[in-house]
Amino acid sequence: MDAISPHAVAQREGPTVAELFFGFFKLGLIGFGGGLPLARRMVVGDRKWLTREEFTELLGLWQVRPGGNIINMSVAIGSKFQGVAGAFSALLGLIVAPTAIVIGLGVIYDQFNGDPRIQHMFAGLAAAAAGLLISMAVKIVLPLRRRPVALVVAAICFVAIAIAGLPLLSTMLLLAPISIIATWKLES
Amino acid sequence: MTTTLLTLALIFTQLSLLAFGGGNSILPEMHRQIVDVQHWMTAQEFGALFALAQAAPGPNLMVVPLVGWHVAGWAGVLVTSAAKFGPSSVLTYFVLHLWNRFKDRPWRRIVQAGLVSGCNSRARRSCSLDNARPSACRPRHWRIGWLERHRPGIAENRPAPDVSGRWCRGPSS
Repeated sequence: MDAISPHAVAQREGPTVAELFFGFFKLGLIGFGGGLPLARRMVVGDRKWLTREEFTELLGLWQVRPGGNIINMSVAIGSKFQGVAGAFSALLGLIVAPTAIVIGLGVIYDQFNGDPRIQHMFAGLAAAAAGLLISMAVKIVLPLRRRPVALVVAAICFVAIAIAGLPLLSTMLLLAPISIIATWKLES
Repeated sequence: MTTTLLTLALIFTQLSLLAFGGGNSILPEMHRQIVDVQHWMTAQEFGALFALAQAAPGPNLMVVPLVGWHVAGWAGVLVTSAAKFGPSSVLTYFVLHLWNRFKDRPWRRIVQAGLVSGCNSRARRSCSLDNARPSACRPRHWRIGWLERHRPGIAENRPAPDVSGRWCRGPSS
């Protein structure tokens, strides 16, 4: 249960650089696939670095910018308490262990690349990962099903990227304004 | 070698700045640049590396340092990580700095209210996308979002059972 009393919040002290590093280090090790709910539990519940309001405010701020949510969050929380040093240690703490693990797996993959059994295993893993991506795409598209304009834009984008192989930057620069104008003119 | 590192840096900086709406939105572009344009690996190898990265813990897109390592060893890891995580982190740092500097301006309150309600609809979406613990995360986000918009101050102190039933479709946490 992560309910905290206002009294406890008033008395809390900000984490040190080392606490930031190890807090996000742990989060990096356990947070599979994004892990924003886990991050919330650590920051608001277990360690009480932020109140719920502060967390929600930060969440709103970093949602409007590019970059991974959890990455931006580590930087925001680190800099809030310890400035540049805190931002660095929180970010490093978050990515250092997953990077080491992923490269360790990469070394193993390279070592046994010639083995057909390993190749089959990775083909299976890749299929599973592709399936997860497809399910994510379906979940994003489903809310648009009553909006023909959005569906047309999504279809054009799919053809441009997946079939025609156009660069993302030019596709986005062209489609984003069209999508905004079309939504504005046709759906209002 | 230097050219390779420079190309890696350019590609991943651009990807980093295009990653609106989550890291996965830049995967096709990453694939295109690495497999089709630079020919650093085959499509099968890219698929295998992506699968590897998904199997590991941590944030999304751990495929970034893995691609760097595959292409240019440890230097590649450093370059791709810095290019991918650096720009957005610097941006975050400065936005937060400005945000705190204008703490007392009246417009900040308005922007903040707008962002919070916007972010709650997004948090809801990202929660339903979170296949790891859907039942554990969904109701709490929804409840808190509703409370903070409609009853400011209450969400802090009480779990507020009166609205949970209306806003949670999943099992109550």
